[in-house]
Amino acid sequence: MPSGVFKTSYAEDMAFIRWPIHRIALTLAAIFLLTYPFVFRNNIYMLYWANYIAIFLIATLGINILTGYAGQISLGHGAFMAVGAYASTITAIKLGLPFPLTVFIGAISSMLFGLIFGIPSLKLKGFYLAIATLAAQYLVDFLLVNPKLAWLTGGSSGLIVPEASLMGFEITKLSGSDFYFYFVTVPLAVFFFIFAANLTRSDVGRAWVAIRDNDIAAEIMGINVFKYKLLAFAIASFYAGIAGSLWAYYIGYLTPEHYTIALSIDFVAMILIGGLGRHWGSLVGTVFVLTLPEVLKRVIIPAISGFVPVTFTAESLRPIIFGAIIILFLIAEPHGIVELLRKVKEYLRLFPFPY
Amino acid sequence: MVLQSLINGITIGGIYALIALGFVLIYKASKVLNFAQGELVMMGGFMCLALSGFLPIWMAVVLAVIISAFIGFLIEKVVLKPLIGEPILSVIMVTLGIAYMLRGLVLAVWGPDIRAFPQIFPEGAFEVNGVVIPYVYLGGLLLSLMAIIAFILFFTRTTIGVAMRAVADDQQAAMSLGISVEKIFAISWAISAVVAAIGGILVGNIYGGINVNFAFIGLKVFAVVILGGLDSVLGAIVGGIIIGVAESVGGTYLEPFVGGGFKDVFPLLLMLLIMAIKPYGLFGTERIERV
Repeated sequence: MPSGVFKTSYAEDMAFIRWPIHRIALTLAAIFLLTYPFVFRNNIYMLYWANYIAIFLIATLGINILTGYAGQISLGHGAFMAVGAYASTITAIKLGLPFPLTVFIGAISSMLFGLIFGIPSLKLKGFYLAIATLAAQYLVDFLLVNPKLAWLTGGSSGLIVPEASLMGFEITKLSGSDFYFYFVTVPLAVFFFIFAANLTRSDVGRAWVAIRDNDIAAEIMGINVFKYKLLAFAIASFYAGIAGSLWAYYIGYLTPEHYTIALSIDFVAMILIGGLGRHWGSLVGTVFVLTLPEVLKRVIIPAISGFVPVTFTAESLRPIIFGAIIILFLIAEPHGIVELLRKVKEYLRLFPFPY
Repeated sequence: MVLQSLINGITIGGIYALIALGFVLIYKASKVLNFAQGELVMMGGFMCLALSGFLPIWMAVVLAVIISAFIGFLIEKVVLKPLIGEPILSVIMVTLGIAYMLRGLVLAVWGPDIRAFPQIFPEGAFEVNGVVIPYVYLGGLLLSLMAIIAFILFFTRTTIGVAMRAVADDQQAAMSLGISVEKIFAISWAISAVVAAIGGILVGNIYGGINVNFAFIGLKVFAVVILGGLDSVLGAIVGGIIIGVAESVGGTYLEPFVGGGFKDVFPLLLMLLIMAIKPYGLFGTERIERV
């Protein structure tokens, strides 16, 4: 009987699932995702939370591809999401197109927008690119609240998003719509997760990593740097567009306040806290960053409200704690929670004898 | 009308130049891009506001500046020192983390409302050929000019200033000459926070009131430093004036056509244009990369 897992062919070594433990873990995850909505059938809050995370996970996967794998810093991911959300909502309102099609249109529009802002990445690097994407963020904000464009975007009062209907079935209108929407968001999130994971272990993913590590060296090795940078922008903004459209449909109304610079910074924080260039990092980071304000509101603020002289509210405490966590993580564990977990695992594996 | 918006622009531009100098100083010394510069400006303003509640205004200004210096020093020692040599995204993100924290602190203590700012300069205005110049503008311009001149004199005439330029030029060589690079980093943050605080107090005076969104000025500063070149003191000054004027003139003449708020986006558009044509700014040194 073999005393471990031995791979006897190249295909086995390159397989998507390489270890028995992964198979077990993925099966458990699948069971968890399938039973979750039925367990919380009547708990709207938990269902909402799951949808929230699933939708934002799609966008986070996108920015992790762009920043974590291809190394292009983006501070405008919220704007990409906004473009997707507005494109899908406007096509749904003005043209009356069906829900799946508008989500797709939203994603494509966002992708085109991302491509436009990917073009400067040929010349701009690092800080300059970060600033350019930041400018994109503010330009989109400006256009969305602009009263001159209010006939299209609804201005600062926003738009009411039509009901999402799928196969003659109005998902967002039914009672318990959170439950039904779960079956839209979570499968999509799983699909995009697997797609991203497969993409980044292909030749495309390796080209991205090469560009991230040193773009000049990558170019010398024959990688078409511009093409792959643009591809990263396209895919990241496509993901953001999908997430933005779904989010608009899910909450039912659309205002520019959902997609400000704060959201863009949150996305960078998610991948940094979770783990740059790791898809599990996207998941962990999204869960962490989105759950934190709720924990603050429900647990920490009631606990401290009697002791401190100044008035801490969720609005003020969140940036303080959030900023502190970002700083702490960057100082103590720059590779994020996923790396931290790996270290813990490694420690436990060797536990009594660390040598 | 043209002259009026020109003068407004130059005044605001002078203050932008001052704040941008702080940004350039940190970048030159330690190659750190400070995304929290706008928040330091806001913090300085609020500090002055808080102190002026129970102190005479000039004392409040001086004390606010001193406390800001201390905050800048502390930020460098606690947060940036452990990150020396880390990738650019980490450094950007850590300064964003600082920005978040400062923002949260201001929100916790002062709340989100706009607060009236204590006036340093006498009210009223004088008129030259139909152009109205409030005393606040004149005072703001004079003070920011004085601060810029003091800054330049400090850089060229004092030992610490020369040491800072040496570190900016070549860290290793400076170290071998016995300059404490660590100390220089900390001092550059302190000075940067000081100029930010002065800028915050001046802008607070011109606007008449401040709230937490005051940190938006940080964005203008990006436009200024990109225009002038990230590592150029002259660039920061020239860029500051250009951006200030562009903002003011653009706000006056273009806003009616493209909608409100254009004033704040116009410098960014200008910046994008400059980035496309001349990525290293007017006076910045071109970066040469080797593999």
